Order: sequence, then C-alpha cells, then structure tokens
Amino acid sequence: MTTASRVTRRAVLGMLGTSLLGGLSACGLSGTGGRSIVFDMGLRTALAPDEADVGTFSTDTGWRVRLGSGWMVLGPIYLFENASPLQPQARERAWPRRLARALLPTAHAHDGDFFSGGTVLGEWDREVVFDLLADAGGTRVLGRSPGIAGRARSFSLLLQPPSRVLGSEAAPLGGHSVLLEGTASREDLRIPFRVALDFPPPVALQRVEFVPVEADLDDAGRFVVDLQPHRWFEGTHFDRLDLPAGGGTVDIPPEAQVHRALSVNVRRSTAFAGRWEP
Amino acid sequence: MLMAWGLLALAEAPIVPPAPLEMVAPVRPSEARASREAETVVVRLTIDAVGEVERVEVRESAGRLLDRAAMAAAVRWRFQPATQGGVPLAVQVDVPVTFTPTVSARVVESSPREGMTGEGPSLRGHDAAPVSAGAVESSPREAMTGEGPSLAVGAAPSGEGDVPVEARVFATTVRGTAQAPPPVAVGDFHIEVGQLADVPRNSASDLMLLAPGVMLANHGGEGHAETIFIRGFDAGEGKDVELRLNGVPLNEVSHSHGHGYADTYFIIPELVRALRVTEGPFDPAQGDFGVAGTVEYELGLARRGLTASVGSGSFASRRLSLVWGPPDSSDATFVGLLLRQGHGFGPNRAYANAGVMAQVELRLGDATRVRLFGAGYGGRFSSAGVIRETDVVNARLPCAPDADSQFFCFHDANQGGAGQRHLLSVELHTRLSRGGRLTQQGYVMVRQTRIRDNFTGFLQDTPPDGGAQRGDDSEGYYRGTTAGLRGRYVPGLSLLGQSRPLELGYEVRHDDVRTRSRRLRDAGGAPYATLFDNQVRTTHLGGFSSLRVAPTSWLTLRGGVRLDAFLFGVDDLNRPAVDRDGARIPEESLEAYGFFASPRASAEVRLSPRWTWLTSAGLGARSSDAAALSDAELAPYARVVSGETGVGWRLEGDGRPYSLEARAAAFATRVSQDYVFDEKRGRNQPVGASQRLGAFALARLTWAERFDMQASLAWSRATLPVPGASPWRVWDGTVVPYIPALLGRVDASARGTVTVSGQRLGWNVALGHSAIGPRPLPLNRYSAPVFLFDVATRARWDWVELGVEVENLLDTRWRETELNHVSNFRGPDAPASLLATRHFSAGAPRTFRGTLTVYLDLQEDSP
Repeated sequence: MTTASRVTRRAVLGMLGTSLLGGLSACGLSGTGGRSIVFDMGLRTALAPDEADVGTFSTDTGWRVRLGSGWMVLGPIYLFENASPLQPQARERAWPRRLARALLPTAHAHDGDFFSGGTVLGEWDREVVFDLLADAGGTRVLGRSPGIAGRARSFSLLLQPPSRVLGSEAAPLGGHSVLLEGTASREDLRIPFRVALDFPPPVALQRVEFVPVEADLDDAGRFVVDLQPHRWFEGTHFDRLDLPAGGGTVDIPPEAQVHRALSVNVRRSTAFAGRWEP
Repeated sequence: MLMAWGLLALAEAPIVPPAPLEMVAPVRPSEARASREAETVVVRLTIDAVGEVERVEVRESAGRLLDRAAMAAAVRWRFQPATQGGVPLAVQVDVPVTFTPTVSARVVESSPREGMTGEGPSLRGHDAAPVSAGAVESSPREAMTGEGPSLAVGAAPSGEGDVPVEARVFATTVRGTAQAPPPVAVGDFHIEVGQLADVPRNSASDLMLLAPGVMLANHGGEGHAETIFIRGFDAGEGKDVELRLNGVPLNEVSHSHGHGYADTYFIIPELVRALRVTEGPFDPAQGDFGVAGTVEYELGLARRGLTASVGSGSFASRRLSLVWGPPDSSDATFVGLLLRQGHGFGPNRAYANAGVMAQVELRLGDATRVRLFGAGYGGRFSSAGVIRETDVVNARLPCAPDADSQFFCFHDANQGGAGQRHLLSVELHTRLSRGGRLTQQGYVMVRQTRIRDNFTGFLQDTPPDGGAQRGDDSEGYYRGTTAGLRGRYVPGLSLLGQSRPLELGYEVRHDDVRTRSRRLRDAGGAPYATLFDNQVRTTHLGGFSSLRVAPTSWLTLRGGVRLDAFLFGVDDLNRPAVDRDGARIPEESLEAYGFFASPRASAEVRLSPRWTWLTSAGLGARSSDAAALSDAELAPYARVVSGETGVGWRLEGDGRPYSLEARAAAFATRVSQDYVFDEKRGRNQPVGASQRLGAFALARLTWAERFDMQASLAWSRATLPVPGASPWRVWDGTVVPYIPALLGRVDASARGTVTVSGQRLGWNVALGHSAIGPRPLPLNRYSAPVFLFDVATRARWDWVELGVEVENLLDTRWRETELNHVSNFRGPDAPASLLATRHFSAGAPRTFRGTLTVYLDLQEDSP
C-alpha cells in the first residue's frame, strides 16, 4: 500500500512538472495592436493642370483667373481610416457596374456620428492661417503631428473664422474665413475682384469632408493637403456681377452667383486633395 | 437491544486519548508585561470526533493577554480523535501552556507535565474524557454513563493532579470563525493582517494589496471606489471582484458608475482582522461578480480597551480614530469611529468623511452566538479627474506653469462626489447537537452616491441650434436599499476521514435602486441631458453545495455546484415623450430573468508533510447590468472559466518561534464578455471575450510578533482572443490595455523593545513596497514602471505611542491611472482633437503623517 502510494506520488510529481513547463512555454508575445507615429503635416497650393504658376487657372466657364492674393483659415485636419462613402462610386469605371450601381444604389444609413470615418489616424488639431501664394507651389510644413500607423483613406478639415488665438497672424483676413483677390478675364473683359467668404458655426457648415486619399501613414513622412483653388471657381459666372460704374475692383457680395458658387465649392471634397510623401 | 448492548460495550471500553497532529506554538504578545518566571495558562479543549478543536476554555489564567495568545494557538491545533472501542468520540482535555520568560524566548513550551512532548506531542491517555456535543460542564473526573450523545460530560485532570477549577476567564467556540477554512485553490488566501497592520495604508482597500497580483488605482478622489486590477483583470470598481464585509455583499447592482461598483471607504482599517482573497471562481460559496475572485473582509479587534489615535500630516490631512473593545468580551465585540479630512495632494482634491462601525457578539447558551453589526458612513470629496498629457506638456492647465503644478492640476473643477451608507447585519452561529454547524445572516443596507467626472471635456454634446458645447461633465446618481439573507448548513457528518465534509448554503438578495446618469453644464453645473434613468429592482437567489472527500491519506477532493437565478424589473424613466406614432408617456417597464449554474472543483495532493499540490477549476458568472436589458429577455451574463495549479509549502510548529509559508501557481482564465473603459460613457463597455494566462508566487515569514514579512510577485497576460482561434490558445491575441503585467509587493514589519533610563520602550519599523511593471497602453505603448516605498516607525512608552508615516518616500512622480482616448479640454468653441491621446491621473507625491496613539487598556498593562 505504501509502495503504491509512493509510485503514485511520483506520477503526480511528474504531472506537476509537465504542467509547469507547459505553462511557461505558453508565454507568447504580442502587443495591444497598432503603432503610434509622428509625421509632418503640410499645406500647399496646387497648380492647376497645365499651369506653371500658382493661382493662375482657367475655369470651366471660360474665365481666366489670376489671383493676386489669397488667404484662408483652416484646420483642424483629421485623417480617417475609412474611405469616403462617395469614393467607390467615383472610382467605378466599368459602365456595367456603374449602371448596376445606379439602378441598385447602396443605402448609407446614418450611424449617429457626423461621418463614419472610423478611427482618426492623424490630425492637426489647430487652426492655421495660410497664404495661398506665399510659397509658390512649395509646401509649408505646419509641424509634427501625432498619429497611428496605417492607411488613411479619407480626410476632413474645418473652415472657420479666425479665432482670437491667432492674433495678428489673422489680420490680413479682416475677420473672414477666406479672402481672395484677383482678376478674372474672358476675351476682352477684365474684372478685378475681391471676395470674402465666411464660415461661422454651426460646425456642420464649416466642415469639408469625404476628401478621398490613400496615404500609408508612418514615421518620418509627410502628409500634404493640397488646396485646389482652380476647383473653387468651377461654375463661376463673373459676367453676372454688377460692375461698378467707375470701374475698379469688384467687392463680390454674398448674394452674387460667384460668391455662392465659391461658398459651395470651397466646402466640396474636390476643393482639396491630399498625398503622402514618405 | 443490540443498540443498548453496543452502547454498554462502548461505555466500558477504554478511551484512547487524542493524539496531536498539528500544534502550532502560541506567540507571547509583545504587549504582555515582562516576567522572570514561566507563566502557564491551562486551557480546556473540546476535541470533536474528527480531531478538530471545537471549543477552548481557559481553566487557569496567566493574565488576559497570555490567555488569549494560548487560545488563539489552541484553536488551530488538530488531533487524531480519541476513540473508544475504535469509535471516534468527542473528548475534553486540559492542556497547560507555558510561556517562558521574555528574555529567553518568545514562545511557549509545553512541559512534560502538561502531557505534551516537544516533538510529536501526544496527550496522555488518562487526560481525556468523553464529552457530549451539547452543554459543557466542569466536573472533574465525572463518570460516563454510557448513554452515547447524552453522556454526561467530563473534564479530565492533566498530569500530576487535578487542575483547580477556577472561574472561567475565557471560552470560545472556534470552528468556522477563528480558524480559516481550508483553501480551495493556491490562490485562496486567508490573510491575517496581524503585524502587517503597521505598514502605512490609506484605507481598508489598501489591505487588498496583501494578496498577490493586486493593484489599486483611483481616478476619482478620496471617497471614490478604487479600480481593482487583480489576476490580470481590470475589475473596474468591483464589476469582476465580489467584495463582502463580514458576509454582507458590497457590490452594487446596476450602479450608475458601473455595474458592481463597490466602495470600501467606510470600512475602518483598524477593525479589519483578516481578509480572505480567493483569486478565481473556485469556491461554490463565491457569488455574483466573483469573476476574477472574491475579497471578504473579516472584522475583529484583538486589543481590548480604548485605542485613540490622532494623526496630522501633509496637505492638511487630519485623522482621528477611536476603537474600543470591552475587556470582558471577545474580539468580535468592538466599536470604532474614524474621521478623516484634508486638502488632498493637489488642487481640487479636498475630502472629508466620517464613519462608525460597531459589533457585539452575544452568547445564547453554549452552542449559539449572535453577532449584531452596524455601520454608518458619510463623506464627500473633490476630484481632479484625469488630465490630458499634451495639455500638461504645453502647460495649458489652470495652474502655475511649472511641471509639478501642471502634473497635479485638473481640467474640470466640478468633479467629485459624495456618499452615504448605513448597514445593519444580524448573524447567528449555532453548533448543532451532532456536531453540525448552522449560520444564518440577515442584513439591510441603505446607501446613496453621487459622482461627477469628466473624461472628455467638450466633445460629447450635440448642442441645440448650433450653439456651443455645454460640457461633458457627467453625474452618476445612485440611491437604493438592499436586503438579504444568507445561510450555511454543515451537517455533523464524517466521510472518509473528513469531518463535516458537506456544506449547503443559500443567499437571497433584493435590491431596489434608482440609478441615473446625466450630463451637467460646465457653467453652473445644471443638468441638461439625461443619459439613463432607471428604477431597478433585482432579486438574486443563489444556492450551493460542496463536498469534500479524502479517498487516500494524501489526496483530498472538493467539488460543488452553485446555482444562481436573477429576476430584473426595470422602470426606464428616460423614454422619449414623442415617437414616430405621436405623443407617448416617457416611461417604460421591462422585466428579465437569468439563470446560471457554476460547477467548481479542486484536488489537493499532499506531497509531503510540508508540500501540497493543489489544482482547481471552476466556472463563475457576472450578472447582467439591468440598464442593458430588454423586456422579457433571458438575461445574458458573462461567463468565466478558470483553472489553476500550484504548490504550497509551510514550515511551522515543532517549537519553532517562526512560521514560513510559500505558494506558487499558474492559472488560465477565459471570460465570455469583458469590459474596457469607455471614456464617452465614463464607464466600462463590453468588448467581447477575453482571456488570461498568469502565475504568481508569495512567501510570508512570521517570527513571533517580532518580525512579519510578506512578499509576492505576479505576472499575467490578458488578451482579446483571435477570432476563430481555439479557446485553448489563451496566450494568443491582442493584449488588453491598461492591465499591468507584472506586479510585486513587499510588506514588512519589525517590532521590539529597548530599555531607556530604566523604562521599557516598544518600537516598530514597517515598510511597504509596490512595484508596478510597465502597463500596456493602446498602440503598443507601455507606461513607465512604478516603484513606490512607504515607511512607518513608531515608539511606545507605556500607554502612549508616537509614530511617523511617510508614503511615497522617494517622492516619485507616477501616474496612478493611464487612459488613451479622445478629448477636448480647450473649451466649448475650440477645435476638437479627435485623435486618441494619453490621459492620466496623478499619483500621490511624498506625504508625511505624524500620529499620537493612546492605549487606555491600563487594566491589562499594569503589572
């Protein structure tokens, strides 16, 4: 009886050792998921297609526009992990699929948030006063931005009046969100203009969203937001402006077609573009 | 006829006396007066039919302190039972216990005349006399009548002659109270606070650190329940840890701050005698919320007389405690009062609270005692909450711009809270005629809490008409009453050498609570939105049974099952006044029912007299938060499966003045539904299944009230399993953030005496050390490790004691809580950051406290 008991105890000890070894070998390693990064955020005024100068472009209505100055306040900028809901349609090229999508469109239910962009992968969480013509097509680096490594598929930004925090930096804007001066010409008609756009709260009317982008965010890279003023002037009819009798610069009023077109266009996803520079 | 013959034969057969199996030497109390002579206490033991000490009486006193020390040791002794004709029977024996002079040793010896030998002690045969399980009489050498259970009772003389029968000084019935139940797992700790009470602690919650793998964090201020990290769980403020006080459950159902919220601030630390911390769901008696484990506070006051302590220290902290134990009562009778107030270690951290706890133990005859326990508590506190790391770095917080001021600053001054709690419990313990035990308890608890916190600043609000954000300050309000009954029945059976192997228990709990969460305006604090508002009534019915058998001398098996049923009734008072069909009443009622069964088992292998291997497995469950239920729903609940295996080693007795215990185990756990903190709601939200793998080791050395040290190290790895992976791959998956993987803890206390100018001075030095390994944070980041040291020293002359405590001795800047989430504390009009970023609540800096304690138990201390 005693012998049997001892043998059994040895077996038990063997089981104990085996279980301890098993427990120790089970120590795998993995993390909490994701990786934090820091990258540069930049702004740039994009060249219009086939143009060599920043701020010079032709509109689809036949006007040749040359900006003499351009200022705006924008930010914060958010980079989202999810694609814009408009993006698949925009990229669909095969006509049968376009037809099928037109006949059977996808329903997009509202999920409770302003934009189902998912996780924010990067942001510039301050407002910036930007001179569209200062860098002549070069990039103005805003600074270092925190983020999460991964592919950003869309971004959004806010247009807003300059806050007191900006101080004298925002003086050229005179309290407006966007201020553009330039000349629009078509054939022999030349119209100097100045237009001020305002985007007061609510925030739903300040937001530019659904801007498509494919950017693999990582350390030591730069995300550049391209401002595309040539897209802002799409559909503008300068010929509908009431020109001053004595000539001179036209202060475009809010009720003018050009002002309304600009106000809508600047908040469209086509008004901006983005790209990642590793 | 046969029975009568048998009884007669039994009566005539010689009695084989009980033989000691375990006899731990008593410890001479440090407070006992010095003596040059050996002092002897004669205790009369009632040893039951399975060899356990059922009752202890002092027959010959050597002073109250020594009497109590002798009794405290005697209740832990175990014997091979006395037999008569091969039949085990209960007997009484008188055992003199001798305390040698203090100069030579600290302890006890049992002289030969006392019937015990130094090694392998045994009682002399003629020392024992049978006893009925009923009333105990003192009648030396009284003859047996041969009537079995109705036999008259005898008290035998010991050694050289009869022990003088003096007036009984003390008597205690020991089973189920003075002795810890056998552990159901290696991670089942019955921790006698004892000398480790010398280590600086802020509250009774801190006593939980005596269990391995426990970390406490507080983001809400002095009065807000601690977040408990245990065994790889982020147990929140109680959602995964069942907390009890003397059997009364403390977890609050459907609390506005989180289901299971349990506040232990009302417990007076000086009155905590022991903790039972059961890590894992291995005991069938563990109830709702016992997912990661159960912590039960056991109250008691060893010191008789009045002990008054006044403390004052850093940050205008004041502390007054009064505890009193009537001299002629057991340590279960006491009164305690505690007042605390202070400015806190930084702005917006002021607190003030007061509490009373009182208990009286009454004897109803010799087999029954009743405990009446009551507690009252009220307090309020301010809280700095969490702060955003980038705002600290950029000195944007409303404090001085230096780094220290920013580190301890705050975003929202409206944070804080208040609480009240009143508790009444009646507990009845009965020793049944055949050796069984019956415990019945009834309790009523009334409480109210209000907690305001703000994790996100200005982010959650959808202001009307495009206005500015009104602020995310959220107010959790909770008010309710709980009434309950619980009981245990242990039949007086013996099975395969195990006394009382069967245990049956039940509990009934009814909660009627109002739980509400609202958003408050940043300016003025007026509520502007209600997140939920529920009147909740829940009834919990639970029952369990467990059986313990020992098929061989080295193997003990325990198994049991627990059944729990819940009935929920919820009045939702926050429904819309209008829906798509038109106007409606903005209230709604729903009911739900839930049921679950939880089997639990363990196997204990005695590898050697000192080594034990214990393997345990069990299922546990956490009930549903009533706020998340639907009408007529079969209420879902979180399921936990846990297994553990490990060894224990113990060295004590055999005349040693010290005892040494060590344990080590590995465990694995899987939970069907876990919760992780959600800053939007300010409470934990479900994230799906989670799993844990871990191990711990613990050792405690106790040296005769001179030195006591416990050290533990615990490792755990909590992961969210890979979808579709085998449930056995408990190490694989994404690490659950915020849960520390490595925790170390050391508690140590040394006591002694010195003679200065002819006066005997007692001294004490204590150390507490916490080591918190890097905590995983989202995005594969880790927090910095934390090493904290707390020290205390005291000097006592006669009835006066002076002490100094220093917490965070090295003045470490540490983050008590770290979170990663989106917030906007710049203001209602500022552009919001939407990128999750680091937030933290600052841990306390170095704090000093001086104490003056007066021991007005002059009756005991006078020579």
